[in-house]
Amino acid sequence: MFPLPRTNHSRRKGLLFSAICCSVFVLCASSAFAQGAACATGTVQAFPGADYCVIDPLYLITNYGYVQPLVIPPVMPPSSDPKANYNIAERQFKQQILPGGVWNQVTGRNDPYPATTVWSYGKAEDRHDLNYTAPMPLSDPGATTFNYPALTIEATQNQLTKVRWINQLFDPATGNYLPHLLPVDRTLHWANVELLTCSDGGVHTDCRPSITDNPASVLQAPYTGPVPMVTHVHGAHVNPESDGYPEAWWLPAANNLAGFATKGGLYDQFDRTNTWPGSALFGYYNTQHASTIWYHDHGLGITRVNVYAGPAGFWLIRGANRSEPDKVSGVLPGPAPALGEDPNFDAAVRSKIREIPIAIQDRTFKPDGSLFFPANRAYFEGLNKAGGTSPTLAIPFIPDSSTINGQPSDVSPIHNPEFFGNTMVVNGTTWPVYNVAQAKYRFRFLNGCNARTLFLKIAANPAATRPAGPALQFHQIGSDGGLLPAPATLDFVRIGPAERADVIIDFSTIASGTSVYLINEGPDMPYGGGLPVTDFPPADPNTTGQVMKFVVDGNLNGASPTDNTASDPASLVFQPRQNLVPAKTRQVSLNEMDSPVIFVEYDQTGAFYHDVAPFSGKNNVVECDPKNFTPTVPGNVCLPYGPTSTMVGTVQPDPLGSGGNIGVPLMWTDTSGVSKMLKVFTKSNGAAVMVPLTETPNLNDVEEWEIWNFTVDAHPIHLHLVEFQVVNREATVSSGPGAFSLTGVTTPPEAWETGWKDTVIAPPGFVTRIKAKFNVAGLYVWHCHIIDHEDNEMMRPMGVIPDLNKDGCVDRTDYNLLLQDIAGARQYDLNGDGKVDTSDATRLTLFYTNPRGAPCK
Amino acid sequence: MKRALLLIVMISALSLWAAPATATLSLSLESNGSIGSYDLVVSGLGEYLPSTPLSSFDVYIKFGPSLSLDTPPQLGTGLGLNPSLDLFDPIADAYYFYSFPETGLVRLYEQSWLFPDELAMLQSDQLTLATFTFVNNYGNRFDCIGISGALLTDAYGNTMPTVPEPATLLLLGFGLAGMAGVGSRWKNA
Repeated sequence: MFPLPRTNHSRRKGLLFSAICCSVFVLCASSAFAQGAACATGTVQAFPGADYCVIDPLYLITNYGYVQPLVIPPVMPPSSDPKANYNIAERQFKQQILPGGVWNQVTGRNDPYPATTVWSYGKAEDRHDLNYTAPMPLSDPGATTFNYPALTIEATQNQLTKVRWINQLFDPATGNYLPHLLPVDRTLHWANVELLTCSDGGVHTDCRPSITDNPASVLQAPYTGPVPMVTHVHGAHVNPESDGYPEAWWLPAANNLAGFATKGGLYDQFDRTNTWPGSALFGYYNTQHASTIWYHDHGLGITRVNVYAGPAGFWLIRGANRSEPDKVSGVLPGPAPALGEDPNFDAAVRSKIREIPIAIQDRTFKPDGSLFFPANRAYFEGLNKAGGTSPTLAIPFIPDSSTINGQPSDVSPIHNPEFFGNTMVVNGTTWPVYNVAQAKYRFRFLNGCNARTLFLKIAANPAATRPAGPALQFHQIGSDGGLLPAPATLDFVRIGPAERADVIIDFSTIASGTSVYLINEGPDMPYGGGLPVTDFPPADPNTTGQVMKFVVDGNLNGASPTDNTASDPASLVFQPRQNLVPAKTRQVSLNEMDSPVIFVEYDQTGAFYHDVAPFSGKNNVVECDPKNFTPTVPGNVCLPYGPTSTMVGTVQPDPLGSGGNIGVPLMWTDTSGVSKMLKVFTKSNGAAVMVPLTETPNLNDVEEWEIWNFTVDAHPIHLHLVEFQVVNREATVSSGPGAFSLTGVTTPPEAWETGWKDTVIAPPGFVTRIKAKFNVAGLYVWHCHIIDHEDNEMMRPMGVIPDLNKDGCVDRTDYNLLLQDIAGARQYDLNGDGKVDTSDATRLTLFYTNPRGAPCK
Repeated sequence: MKRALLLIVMISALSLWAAPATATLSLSLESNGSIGSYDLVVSGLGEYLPSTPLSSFDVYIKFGPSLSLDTPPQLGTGLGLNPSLDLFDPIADAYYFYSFPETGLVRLYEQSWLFPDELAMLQSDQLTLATFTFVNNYGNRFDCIGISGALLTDAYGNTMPTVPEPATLLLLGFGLAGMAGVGSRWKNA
C-alpha cells in the first residue's frame, strides 16, 4: 500500500522525544543511571533507558577531549598504471579515532581507547592486513596510504583524472568477503545483492525485496553478505558512467560469491576495457570551477552505513600549477600539503601548512571502540527493541502483519529515519587539537555527517552559554562549487550535510598560548530552519556542541611564506559569477510519509504513550485501532506511525481546490503513472536502458527548480552533475490539508550561497529556488543528502536528454543538428569532455529513442 | 649523430610506452604508376575489443599539390557493411561523408549505426577504415600524403587515444635529429 504523505500539522513525535533527550543527554543519562542501569564507567546508555551501552561522550571529552592532534589528510599518491591515474581500493583496517594507540606516542599520554575498525580508501598497490592501524608516519616502512578519512586527491581543472575504484572488502588472508560492519536493512529498495525475490515478482538486483515471498526471519535480520560499493565524486561535473549511479555498484572479487550478484543493474565504466576483478574505471574531466569536492560511497539503499563506516575523502580541483583560477587578486593562505609530504608526523611540514580540508562527522562508539549504528528502528524512538527492556517499540515490522487490520506492516525493522552520533570526529579523530600560528589559515570545511546540520562558530569558551559570542569571525571565500563572487565575513558558518564552506580564519590577533574553539550550535536533531536558541535548541554544549580546539602558538609564526603575505580576506577579489538565465521552471517536492497500516497512541504532547513518562518500564508502544480507539488517558490520540520514509517527487495543484499545491511523492522506481519511461542509454546488445523519470531536462537547458518542502525538516538537496545557483527562498502558507501556497515573501540567498552550489538546504515552509545548466547527457540522480533519507526513497533518477530539436524524440535529426553544431557554435558537449566534436555525435546515438535513430513518427 | 639516433629511439619508445590503450592510425601505400591507393588502417583495437569497439572516425588527410582524389574514398567494413551518404537512409548501417575543407585536404567521417556487440563482431585488432585513391597529375610519387588530424570514437561516445604509426614517429624523430645535426654544424662552424 502506498504510504500516506505527512503534513506539517503531523509532527514527528518520536524524534521530538529523541531530540529533547539528546539535548539534555547528560541529564537523561544520569536519570537512567539513577534507575540502576549497568553501564561501566566511561560508557552510557545509548539513550535513556536503553538496554545497551555506548561510550559516554561527556566522559570522553571531559577526560580525553582535545588531546589528539588534528589529522591533516596527505595527498593521495598516483599510480604508475598507464590506464589509470589512480588505483584506489576500499578496504577494511583500523583507525585510531579515539584517544590512545599511536596518538600516545605523539602526546606522551597513556590514553586507553583501542583503534576502531573502519573502511576507507587508499592506493591499491599498498599491502596490509586487517589489523593495519592508521595513521602511521608515512616514513614508516609499514605505512600505507589507507586512512579514514581518505587521502586527498589533487586534480587539475580541465585535465582528465582516471581512477580505477577497487572494492577490496575481503579478507586478504582468506580471500573471503567481509560482511558489513554495521546493520544493513534488507527491506529497503536497495542493491539486493543476495537476489531475494523482489516486490515486482522478479529476481534481480536493485529492488525492494518482496514482503510476501521472503520470510520474516530473513527480512528482519541484517544482511551479512558481501558489500557493494560504487564511488561518487560529490560535486563532479562528470559523464554518467563515472558518476557513481546507485545501481552501478559492484562487489569485491572475493572467493565466496556464489549466489550473489556481483554487479548492479547499471554497472558501467568510463574505460570498459578495464577487467580488474572487483573494480570499475571512471574518468573525470574536471571541467568545472576550481573547488572543494569530495568522494564517498553511493550504493543503492546502503550509502548511510557504507559512508558511516568511513569511505570518504577530499577531491580538490585547482587550476594549472596549483593555481586558483577564479581569484583575480590577493594572496590566499597556504600551502596545502604537497604530494609526498607527511603533514602529520613531519614537524617541518606540519608547521608550514596553512590550507587544510576538514571533514566533520558525528559518530557513536561502542565500549570496545567499534562504531555504533542502530540495529533496529526502536533506537530512533528512544525505545528498546521488542523483547528487550521495557519500554519497547512493540509494533509489527516488515513483513509482519498489523494486529489491528491484518495488513502487512510497511515499517522497516532496522532503518532509522535519521541518525545522530553523540561524538564529534574531525578528520578521523575525536575532538582534536591543532596548534596554529598567529596567521591566516584556509580551512575547507565539509559536513560529512549523516543527518546533522552544523552551525560552526569560533568561541573562547567551548561550553559557553548558547548562542556563544564569537571570538573570531569566519571569512567565507568559497562553497561547494568554488570561490564566492566576494568573501563574506560571518560570525558563524552553516553547513548542511555534504555542503562545504571554504573559509579563512585569521588567528593573528590572538595572543600566543591562547586557545579558541570551533563549536557547533546546530541542533541535535534534524535542522528545521532558523537560528540556534531562537528557533531550535542548539547541540549539547558539552559534547556535540564542541568540535575542535585551536591553540595559538607564536613559535609557528613565519613557517609559511603566506604568514606575512596573505591578504586581508576582505580585500580578496574573485571572479564575478556568470548569471544563468533559466528557460524553464520545474517544480519538485520533498515529502515525508506515515504508515497507512500501523497506528500508535500518542499523548497530548505528541510523544508516544507507553506509560507515565519517563520510562517507568511498564508498558510498551503497541498498535492502536483508529476506528475503535479508546484513549488510555483522555486526550490521547491514535495516529499513523511514522515516518516510514521520505520521498522526493513532483508538485501538483491541490485537487481539493484550495488554490495551493500538494506534493506528489514518488518512489525510486515509480510505477504510479506519473513518471515517463525514457531511454537514457543503450546497452552493448542494443537493449534500451529505460528509467521512470520525471526530471528530464533537455541537454543544455537552464532550468529553475522550485523545491517545495512539504515536510517538517530542512533537507540538504543535492543534484548530481551540475553546479547550480541559489535564486531565493519564498515562504509558503498552508492553504488546506497538506497543501501550501506561495506568499510572495522571498529571501535572497545567504551570503555564503552566492557562488556555485551542488547542495542546498531547503527549509520547511519555503520553496527553495535554484537554477542550473544541465550540460552532459545521461542518467544521474538528485536526492536529499541526509543519507538516511537518501537510502529510503528520498532520491530520484534524473535524465539529461539530448533531444536537440525538442520534438520529444531523439533521432537522426538530432544527430544532424549536432553535426552542424560541431561545425558551428559547438555548444553540445554530450560526453562532458570539455570539447565538442564527433565523439559527442557518437554519444548521441546511444540516446536514440528508436534503434539506429529511426524517427518516432 | 649517435646521440640523435638515441634520442629518436627514446622518443619513440617513450611515446609508445607512456600511452595507455591506444589505437594506431597509418596510411599504407600501394602505388601503380600514376595512381596510388592508400589504405587508412587502424591497429591496436584488440585492446578495446570486444567491450569497446570503434564506432566512428573523423580523419583529415593532407596531400600534395600534384595529387588529386578523383574517386570517392572506399570505406572498409569494420563499421558496417552498408554505409550510406544519406544520413536518413533507413537500411544503411553506417553514415559517412567526405569533404575538402581546403585545397590539399580531405576529410572522411563515418559513424556506425550498429550496436557495440555487432561492431565487435566486425572488428579485429587491425582494421582498414577506408581506401583513398589518388592520381598524380605530374609523376608517380606518393610520399607527400599524411594524416593531419584524426578522432576515433568508441561505441559509447568516448574518444579513443590515438597515436600516429611508429614509422611516423620515427620520421618525426629523424626530422628532429636532422634539425639537431644542422644546429650542431652551425655551432661548430
